[in-house]
Amino acid sequence: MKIVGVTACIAGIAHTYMAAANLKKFAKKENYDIKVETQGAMGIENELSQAEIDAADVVIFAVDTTVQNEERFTSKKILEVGTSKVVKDGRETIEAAARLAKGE
Amino acid sequence: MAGFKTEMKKLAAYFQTGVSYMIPLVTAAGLLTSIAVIFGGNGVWNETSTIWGNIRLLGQTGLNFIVPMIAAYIAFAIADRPGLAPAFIVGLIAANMGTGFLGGMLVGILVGYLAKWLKKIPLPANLQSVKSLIIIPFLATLIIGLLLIYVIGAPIQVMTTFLTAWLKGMSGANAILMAGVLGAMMAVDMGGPINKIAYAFGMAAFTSGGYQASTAMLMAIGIPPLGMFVATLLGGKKLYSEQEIESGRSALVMGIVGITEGTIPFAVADPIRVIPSIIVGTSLGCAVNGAFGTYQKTALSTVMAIPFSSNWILYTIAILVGVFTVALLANFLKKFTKKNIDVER
Repeated sequence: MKIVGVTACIAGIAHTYMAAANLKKFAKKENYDIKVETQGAMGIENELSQAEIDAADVVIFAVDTTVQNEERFTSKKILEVGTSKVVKDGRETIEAAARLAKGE
Repeated sequence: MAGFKTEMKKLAAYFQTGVSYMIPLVTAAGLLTSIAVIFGGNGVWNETSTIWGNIRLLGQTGLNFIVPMIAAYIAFAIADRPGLAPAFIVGLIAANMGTGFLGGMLVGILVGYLAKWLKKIPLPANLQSVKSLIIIPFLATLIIGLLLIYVIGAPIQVMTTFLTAWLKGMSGANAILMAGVLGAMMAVDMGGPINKIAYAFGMAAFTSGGYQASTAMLMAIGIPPLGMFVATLLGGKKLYSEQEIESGRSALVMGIVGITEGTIPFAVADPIRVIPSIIVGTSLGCAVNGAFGTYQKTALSTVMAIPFSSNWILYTIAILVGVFTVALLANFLKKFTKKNIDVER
């Protein structure tokens, strides 16, 4: 399964990166392919290309703010959660995304 | 009802986007202004013949930009690019009218939704570029600008004046209570939504000169991680795992630079004991500072604001009260209920 994610919190210094790390950690445990773009205080890092987004089975938005360049994701299956939820329980988010991808 | 709820959730995300773009502006401008006043004295306000006067000019110009900036980026969050320019213009008017943070937020919302709505109006393809380049920026600025000037500006101005007077006039028990509540809110979810509500309130107070509230809010940021660092120092291996002691060291760094999230590893491992401890400790530290009446006019957090506080000794004492309350309470609870921990394991 291929997952792409975007994380963004308010200050853009802590939750953004902790959520990104957690998504990668739990996706790896399930052997899913994942790439996470961070929209933090430094701006957009690890930016997702349109090809990567098109190839993904599901998109995770772990955000407290709005997503920049959201139009890239139109017509994708999107799971939207807050960053604190992902920081506290990354497994649950990855599982929910997998369920969404399978259309359950 | 569900639609209303998602719309409110979206609205919160729009506000938070605005705040997130505003944070670097506030820190840069607040710090510059404070440095100028500390080294140049109160004379810097009216002159640009010394370097301190010019640094004050930089900082003050930045502070005047808070309201347009929050308006612009709330509108940007709602309507994307077409919202930005009109909200900057109308936001600047709001700032000049003295409508403060409230005015900025309202302008951002109004411009944002109007621009978003205008975007949806169907036009022939050859007019699309005219729409995004001319029609939306022009109409949004004109309509919301005039609405602000002739209709909603005056009432917001009255409300802001009232709020400012209330914040500035706050003293004694009220000031202590407000500081304590802000401290508790900042600690309770360690950088989550409740923390950000307190943050937004503190920032709103900051922009209208209510420095007691902003000081309490900013002081609270570093107390939970610093407290848990001290707790691991005092508690040692009896109460904390190897990994937690390691987290304690990074919590020290995070506490100093002002990242409340440094406390999260402890709270995840033992929420029942850690979260009440940080709430009580942070609230107490802020309340003590409220009682001293110490304030600082930068947007810097806990430790970094020490040199800029109106009385650095009292300010530091208040921080220490908070930090040690967190540490001792957490360790006491862990010790007192250690049997339960063993059972849980």
